[in-house]
Amino acid sequence: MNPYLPHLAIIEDVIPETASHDVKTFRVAFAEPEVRAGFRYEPGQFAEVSVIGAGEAPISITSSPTQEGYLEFAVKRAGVMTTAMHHARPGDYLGIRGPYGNHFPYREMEGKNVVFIAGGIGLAPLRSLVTFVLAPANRERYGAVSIIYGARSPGDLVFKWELERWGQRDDLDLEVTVDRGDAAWQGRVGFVPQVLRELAPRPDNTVTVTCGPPVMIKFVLQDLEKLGFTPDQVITTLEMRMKCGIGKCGRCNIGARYVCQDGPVFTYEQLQKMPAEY
Amino acid sequence: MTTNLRETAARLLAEGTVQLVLGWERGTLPLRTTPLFAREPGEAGRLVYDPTCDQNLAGYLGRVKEERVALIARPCEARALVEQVRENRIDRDRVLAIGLPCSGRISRSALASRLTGRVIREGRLAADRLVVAGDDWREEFPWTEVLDPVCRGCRLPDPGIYWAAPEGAVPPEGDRFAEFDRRRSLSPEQRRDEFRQAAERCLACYACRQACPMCSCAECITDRTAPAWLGPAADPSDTMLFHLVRAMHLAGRCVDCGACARACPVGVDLRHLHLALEREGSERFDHCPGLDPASRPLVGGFRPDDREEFIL
Amino acid sequence: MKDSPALAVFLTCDQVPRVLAASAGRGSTWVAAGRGEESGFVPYRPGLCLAREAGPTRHTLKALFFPRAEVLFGYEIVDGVPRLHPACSPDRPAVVFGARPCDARALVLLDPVFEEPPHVDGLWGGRRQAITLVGMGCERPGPACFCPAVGGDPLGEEGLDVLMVPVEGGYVVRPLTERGRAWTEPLELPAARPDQEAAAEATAARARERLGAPPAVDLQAALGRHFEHPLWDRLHERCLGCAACTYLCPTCHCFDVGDEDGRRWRRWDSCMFPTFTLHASGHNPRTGGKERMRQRLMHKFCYYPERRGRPACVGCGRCVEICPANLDLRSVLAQLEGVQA
Ligand SMILES: Cc1cc2nc3c(=O)[nH]c(=O)nc-3n(C[C@H](O)[C@H](O)[C@H](O)COP(=O)(O)OP(=O)(O)OC[C@H]3O[C@@H](n4cnc5c(N)ncnc54)[C@H](O)[C@@H]3O)c2cc1C
Ligand code: SF4
Ligand code: SF4
Ligand code: FES
Repeated sequence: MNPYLPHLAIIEDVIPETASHDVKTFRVAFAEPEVRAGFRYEPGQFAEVSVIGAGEAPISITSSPTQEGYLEFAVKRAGVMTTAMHHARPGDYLGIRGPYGNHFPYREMEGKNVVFIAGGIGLAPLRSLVTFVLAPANRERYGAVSIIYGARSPGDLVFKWELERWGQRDDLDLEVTVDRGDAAWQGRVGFVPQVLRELAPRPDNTVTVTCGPPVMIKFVLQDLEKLGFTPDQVITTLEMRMKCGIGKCGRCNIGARYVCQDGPVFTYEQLQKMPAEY
Repeated sequence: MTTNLRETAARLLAEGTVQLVLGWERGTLPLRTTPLFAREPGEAGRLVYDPTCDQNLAGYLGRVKEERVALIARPCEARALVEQVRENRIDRDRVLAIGLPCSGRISRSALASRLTGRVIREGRLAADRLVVAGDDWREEFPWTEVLDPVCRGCRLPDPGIYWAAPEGAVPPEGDRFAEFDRRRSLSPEQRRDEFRQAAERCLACYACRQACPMCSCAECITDRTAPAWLGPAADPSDTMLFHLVRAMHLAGRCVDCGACARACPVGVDLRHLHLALEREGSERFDHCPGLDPASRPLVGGFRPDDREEFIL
Repeated sequence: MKDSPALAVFLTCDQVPRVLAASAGRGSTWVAAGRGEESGFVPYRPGLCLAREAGPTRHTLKALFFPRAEVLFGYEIVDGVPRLHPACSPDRPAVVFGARPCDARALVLLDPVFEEPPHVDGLWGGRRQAITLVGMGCERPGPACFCPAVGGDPLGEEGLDVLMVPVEGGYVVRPLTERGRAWTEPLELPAARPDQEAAAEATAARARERLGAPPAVDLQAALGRHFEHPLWDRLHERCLGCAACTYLCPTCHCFDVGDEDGRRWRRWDSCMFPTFTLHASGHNPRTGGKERMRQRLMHKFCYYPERRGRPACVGCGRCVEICPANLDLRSVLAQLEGVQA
């Protein structure tokens, strides 16, 4: 068995997300029909995505299992592989292996209100769960759903097309904010934690799911605590440098937990028991 | 000498002249020493100084935080200090170099080959004799028989670098270029093969780089991912590249202390690469690393009368 | 499945070349050979100088199963379409002769890392399956050896198919598994006599006495408590931050993955390097040398035991021997055990 051998997939669509195009969403479909039919994943899992010849990187699957026939990845241009990926066009091939890691506890969340709090590209891993929760077959299993999403500037917001669709729904409360506005920006200006304090969601029967840059997470956690949320009500998904994605290469551990296998999804309660090496 | 050293170190710490003394103490294996970071006068009592002191302590200067540091300095440490001062990497007034007379150091690899791999259970120095014993054998000989080849013809830097200059130092006689000259007499093919064999043995663990008091780059080319200079295939051409780049970066800076060769866990000794550049520097530009903190850098310094017949 | 010790046979020193030649005739046979910093495992050929030092060879047995760099798969891109070629099965020894018990035990510690479902690493597993390990018990443990402190034994059998116990004039050879018997039987060696068996017991007793009894400390618990202890600030300062200890450790298994020359490779990597955990964004969860050295120790003596019940160290002492700063793992652990919470 060679667990490092990826399946080939074809890029169907490339959507530039940010104004500077440093984030793009790739819609891909497996080249072989059996793989396409057999690839099952859960919201919150990731895949090891390769540009053959340029390398491999762990990327969250941002689409939801409720969307069949394709996968989506939103990728920020950061280094070698992600830059090569940004040069790819529809029709080009990627390698994909996975899905890896644990997933958001969507069953345990049933019956509860859900508050999503995301910053920048941190919305990518959460989007899978948002779409899953909002899917017609699942929506009634969850209480009120709200999303607080922020980016540095209007140009840095990702999934604008998706935000528009979400904004039109009446079973969802969406708050979009930017650190700094521009001439055309009509929406909110302010940091994510500020908006969170203002909206002050109530902790009873509620879970929060958050992902974003480390500073944002730091303040969000503090504010959630002040709002009365207990650490087990706060769910986050972590990033660590990874290579194998399957617990062999020894790279992604935080204490005795391997983020690629025991994570990337952790509750704040779990994180508090782990060394602060992330 | 050791008693004096301990007393001086303890006094410097007690008086607060320095907050740290960098020296050696006995190691955990026969004939090994390990660096000692003494911060309390009491700790200075563990200092030792003899030909088993192996590492170049100047490499730690850039890592410690104390305001003033006393460095136990043989000529090897002193030459490295000179270069670090010259490169403005260390403030000269931060370091009190306690110079000690050095008559050379024992080469562990020379000792191992003399003992044909027999395991040493006990080893000690008695004056100029080395006494080593194993399970069912014992040998005694002058320790200079296993002198580190680096030490032959050692150079002492400008006394100005010392806080206390070494007294009565008699560097071992000989020619530290001997091995280099032997290689020079080989054919280019033989030299290439030797280099290739070394590169194949090299694990890319970078112990050589880490032990070197002059390898100071905050980010080595080996750390770069975009582009990645050393590929994942671990081809010998990668380790060759690493060693050549390292040698070039050390041109005119390598103080020939041999710390890199001693640190290597698999016996790769590429000192001759550095010596080749040292000889170029001295023959063509009258440059000698590690002796004068006021000297101009070999690479990056220019004089109108520099020889330039190699520029086409 | 173990055989009764009654099946032990006796091999005289001068029969060793014949036995190795016979083994090599039946299948690729690798032996522990060479001296000092060049010693390691190489294919047998007549006249080879077998390793005879106290303690293990410098290069590890692990490197035969998990080489410094290996191909995960090959690729070519034809008209924009990648074609992937699974790694062809690399040359693997059928027999390894002369491995120390610590090296064999290290393979057993690594097996679950590579072979635990659902992600079974066939590159490791394939080589492991076909191998007969003929171990050489330690008559005279080296000055850096400390296997009993981490649950090993100089005459340990774990992971071995055959154990050879050195005695006066030769070896008492004990087949330990079916595979071991299949290797030993065709050699047609005479059964070991009771006095030779007794000599083997004496060898074991001497070796154990030399190593001393294991310390009665719960190291895992101690380390778990002392993650934040200020002692780490002092412990790490001699550490140069090279990867010599990790690359030559028989249980270190970290690797990097990358593409080069039409192949995807994995290559040894080390938690001692700052780039090991560096994110593409520039953020680094392990900021300095202290954190990195702590990770290496914690992984071996706290995290691995938490998952698998015993430390990921076999006490071979290689890291002790090769550390350029003589930063001795044994004394570091002793200091950590000694501190009060
Ligand atoms: C579980 C998980 C989910 C992720 N999801 C996304 C996502 O949805 N979108 C996105 O844009 N990015 C995501 N990342 C981050 C992304 O993996 C890195 O930006 C990417 O690895 C950079 O690779 P590179 O080759 O371009 O960079 P280089 O700097 O060239 O990196 C070289 C190698 O280092 C490793 N590496 C470097 N930085 C990281 C990092 N931050 N995390 C993990 N490995 C790293 C990779 O193996 C990479 O191939 C995720 C990371 C993790 C761990
Ligand atoms: S110390 Fe030796 S093995 Fe390590 S990088 Fe240097 S030459 Fe290579
Ligand atoms: S940590 Fe050191 S002693 Fe333990 S197995 Fe690794 S190299 Fe051997
Ligand atoms: S990414 Fe290799 S162990 Fe987690």
